[in-house]
Formats: sequence, structure tokens, C-alpha cells
Amino acid sequence: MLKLFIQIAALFLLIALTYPATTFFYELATHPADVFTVSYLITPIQDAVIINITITYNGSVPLTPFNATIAIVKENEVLLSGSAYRDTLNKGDSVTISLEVPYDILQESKPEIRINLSPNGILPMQIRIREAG
Amino acid sequence: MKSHSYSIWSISSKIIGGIIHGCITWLIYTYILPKIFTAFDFHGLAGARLTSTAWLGLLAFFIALGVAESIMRKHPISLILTAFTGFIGFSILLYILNYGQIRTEIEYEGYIIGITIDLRLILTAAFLLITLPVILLTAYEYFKKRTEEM
Repeated sequence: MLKLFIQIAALFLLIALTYPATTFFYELATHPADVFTVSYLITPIQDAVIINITITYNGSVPLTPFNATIAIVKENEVLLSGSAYRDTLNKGDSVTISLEVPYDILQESKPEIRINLSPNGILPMQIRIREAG
Repeated sequence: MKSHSYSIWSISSKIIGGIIHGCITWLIYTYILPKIFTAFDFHGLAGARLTSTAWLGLLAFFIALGVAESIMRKHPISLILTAFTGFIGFSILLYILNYGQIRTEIEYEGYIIGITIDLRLILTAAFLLITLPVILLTAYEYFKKRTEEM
């Protein structure tokens, strides 16, 4: 009986531990565009473009830590990358990543956003956003 | 005569207790814990590849272990069976959850959003909170009984 009680108590504790991650994942699965708003600004310069990407977080669960990277990828190989790191990202916070990409690299590769985060510091996860096709 | 009927009742209750314990262990390791850790559908989970025969086989296996453990409660082998049940249950959980690395992909407005979750930290917590205490508690109960009997 005591063993069963311990198992049930442990299950409730695990549910409590995973609740922030479940909430975050539910928000992301149902309304991905509302959880992260991504806006970008591309400024051409002489032989390159400067890409500024701003990621705004609108989810309810604090993300501890949060690390976002823009990677210029060609056949799974990262040619260039730029990152932004925050210890904690709360609802309404934004991060901006800036990256200078030469034209020749831009023509033969695709940008990809990689976000490493952990809802309430419990479950580390990586989100990769890339163009379909 | 009276002691004979008591003995049958005692064995039946141990068997029923073992069946219930086996079912609960099966439910915890193959259904409840994977559901807690993967609240949403994930592609390619090893657990999804298990057939219904495999699930029933696992249920029968846990029931058999539960009954054996319940009948041999006073024997030292019950400790080994408890530990074995815990480790097998935890190993099945690891297998179902791809050894702690699960991923899914959502296609949204021309973009592919890939999500990879590292469950190793929470699986360690599950081992420390569920598997280990049950083994330690069984060992404690066994040695306490042995000391009282001496």
C-alpha cells in the first residue's frame, strides 16, 4: 500500500514538473505563430546583406534559458551563424539577431532558425524553423 | 481444516495482489509515464511500433513478475524480482521514449517547424522518484520483517 502511495505521489510530482513544458508545447502546437512572432529586416550593403531577425515571445511559460541562432545552411552544413542568448525570456520579451551574409553564400543556401530553450528550466528542447521543400 | 482454508485464501489473495501489482506496474511504465512525457503525438516513437500482441505480452510479463514477487515475499528472491521489475519497467519506458530523445515536425504556412525534446533529465527524475524508492522500500520491509522474526 505504501509502495502504491509512493508511486502515485511520484506521478503527481512528475506531472507538476512537466506541466510548464506541456503548457508551452500545447501553445506551440495549437498557435505556433502566436507563441513566437518573427520579424526580419534585410539591409543590402556592397557585397552582402545584413539580416536582422527579431523574435518576440508571447507564450505564458518563462523560458530558462533561451538561445536563438540564425544559421545559413547548405546541405546540412552550417556556413554562417549568429546567436542571441537570454537567461530568462518572459512573455513580451524580444531578442534580435544580426547576421551579415555575402551574396554568393546567400544564393546557394537557405536560412534556418534554431532555438534552444527550456520551459521553466525543466525540459531542454530545440526548435528548428526552415522553409518547406 | 481451518488452517487449510486459510492457506488457500492466503495464496489466492497473494495471487490477486500480484496481478493487481503487475497491472499497475504495466500501466505506470507503458502508459501513464509515456503519456505524461509526451502529451502530444510524436513521430517515430519506438512505442508506436509495438503491436497489440507486444503490449499484451508485456502485461502478462508484469503480471507474472507481480504474482511471483507476491508469493515469494518472505524469500530473498522477492528482492531480486522487485528490482528486476523496476529495471525492466524503466528499460521499457526508455525504449518507448526513444531513450530520451523525441522529435516531431509541424508544417505551418510553408515552413517546417521541427521540435526535439531531451527527456533525459526528467527520465532520471522518474527513476529516482518511482523505480528506486519502490526497490529500497521492498528491501527495507524485507529486512525489517527478518529482524522482527529473529
